[in-house]
Amino acid sequence: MSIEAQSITKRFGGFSALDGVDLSVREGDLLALLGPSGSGKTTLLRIIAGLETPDEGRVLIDGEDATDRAVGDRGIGFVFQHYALFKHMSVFENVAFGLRVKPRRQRLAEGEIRRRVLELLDFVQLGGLAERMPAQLSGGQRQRVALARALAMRPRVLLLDEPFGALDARVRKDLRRWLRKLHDELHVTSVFVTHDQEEALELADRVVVMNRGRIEQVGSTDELYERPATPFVFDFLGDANVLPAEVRGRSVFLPHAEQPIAIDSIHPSGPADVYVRPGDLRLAEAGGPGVDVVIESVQRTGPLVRVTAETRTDRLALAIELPHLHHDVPHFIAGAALRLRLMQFSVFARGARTPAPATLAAPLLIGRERAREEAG
Amino acid sequence: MSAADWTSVLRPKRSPHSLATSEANGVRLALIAFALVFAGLLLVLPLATVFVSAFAKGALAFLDALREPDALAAVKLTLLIAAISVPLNALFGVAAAWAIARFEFRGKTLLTTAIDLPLAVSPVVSGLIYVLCFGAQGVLGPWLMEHGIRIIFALPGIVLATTFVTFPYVARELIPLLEEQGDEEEQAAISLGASGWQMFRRITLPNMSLGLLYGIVLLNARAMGEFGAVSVVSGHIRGETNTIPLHVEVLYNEYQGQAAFAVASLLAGLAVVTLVAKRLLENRLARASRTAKENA
Repeated sequence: MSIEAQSITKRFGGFSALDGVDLSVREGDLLALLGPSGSGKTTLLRIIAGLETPDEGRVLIDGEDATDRAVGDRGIGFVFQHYALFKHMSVFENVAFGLRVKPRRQRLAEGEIRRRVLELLDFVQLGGLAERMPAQLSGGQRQRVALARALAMRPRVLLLDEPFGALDARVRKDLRRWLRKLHDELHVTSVFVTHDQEEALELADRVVVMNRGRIEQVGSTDELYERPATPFVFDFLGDANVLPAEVRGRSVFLPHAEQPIAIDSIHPSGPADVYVRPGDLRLAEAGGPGVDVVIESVQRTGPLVRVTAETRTDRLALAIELPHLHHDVPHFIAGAALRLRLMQFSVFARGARTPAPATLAAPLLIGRERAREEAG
Repeated sequence: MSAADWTSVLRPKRSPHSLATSEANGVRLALIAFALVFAGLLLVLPLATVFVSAFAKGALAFLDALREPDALAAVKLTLLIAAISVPLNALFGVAAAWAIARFEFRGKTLLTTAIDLPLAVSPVVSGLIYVLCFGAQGVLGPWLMEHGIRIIFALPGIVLATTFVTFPYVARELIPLLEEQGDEEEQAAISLGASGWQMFRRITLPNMSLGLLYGIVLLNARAMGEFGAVSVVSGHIRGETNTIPLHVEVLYNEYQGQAAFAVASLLAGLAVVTLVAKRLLENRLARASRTAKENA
């Protein structure tokens, strides 16, 4: 089942939670809504579910306007962040709830309900726990009860609000893999909310990055990583070093570099920022192009050497992560001068990083370049 | 319990570094003694006196005082009033608490304050309000007289006054409980296709049941024991508009001490039952709240 959210706007008092958001979820998708807290991701999920009404905009489910349809009539299953299990009911009754509250004419026979609930509990690997109370379960087990309860209604869309947020790291990883498997078996269109980029990138087919009530970018893991549309996306998906630069034609001029760096595509000339990840910096060959820095401190962690350095000209701090290569190690001493090559980076027109949300729009993007040389 | 046991109870659990607290041992003993003596003199002694005096002339006299027609009428009236105002206020309390804990609306603060009003107003004033409204000289008095409706010095007035005084108990108990529980379970029920009534019946009500029961126990005790407000509106008609507390006063003023205490022992008994029920419910509520927190 496909979902279409059209120019959704939602305000809470003076706070604008969603600002004209458009989103389409394709049949069978496993989609992540990723963003920091307050970015509007949970509000969007709740509006799709019908737990919240948008101030403006429409929600289409399978092409039909469902904006005014009640939650129970949308064919969705919702898994709450804190599971929201009915604590006075057994696991069995929790899962059976949706089947029992149906109008008498549509209700299944007791035997059929029993069969379906037990089958679902087996499916979520809680076979023997039907008579337990929620308080007697671990976090991961509760999460799976919540999932089984939502699946009992045979929903056409599964919506999950921070599904792993309250679990410890190990259980989280297991459940993540398990949910992926479940999605591949059931092919039910699923949307989940998370603030954990690793979780989103690992689990989802497509990731929607949100910030301040707007969608910054929609794409696969690779698309987001290789072609971040905005500085925010670049920043949110990992650590970033920002270097002020000047674009002229097909060249990027860094004040800390002797030679300009060539780029493929044509960009409007003017001031820009170069974004580069700590791991995408390498030692440059003597005489090659690069940024000159002085090492501040060195932290060795075995496979990686973490270096903090400052650019020579204007003392900008840079974080660098280098693989531990024996022949390079002698260079990593505090106070030593290095030349660093940018293996891959993104270039954004200046102004794109200013905090006002309006200036974060995508058209300000001017390009991205991958260094053509092989890694040293 | 032997004397040795007592000292071990009263002695602070000594850790090697508790010199500062052990020096305050005298203060500690004095405080405990003061509290016990004070509670004994002011609370336990009077309660015991009620029962001792009630049986001062033997069990037969005790039973006679209760079997007397006016006393029976007072008991019946009190039960009738409780039977009307307790369900009314329970219903109102649940509705008000749910509205306040779950919804944002204009006048919410006003409603919250209004619920507390009866606690702030002297019961006598509460009774007087109704006399001023519905009494012969009151605002609606003449109109009511014309239509032959009696409120003051009759059952409706007593029910009104009692309901007013006991108004806050259930709502005040439920509001914090509902706020603590949050509405995620209710949303989950709705998302699974439950109707509003099904959600209330199957989720909200079971979750609030302990708190509701607790509120009702307090509400009932207050409704049966109310004196001030009822005294103003009842008119003290023996065998007709005298509730148990009013009947006790009448007997006492007529120097029928033993009979007064016999009837009063009914209320004292109710108080003891209420306290035990309250204690048990408090324990269960605390346990429920603890598991809820662990599960959060």
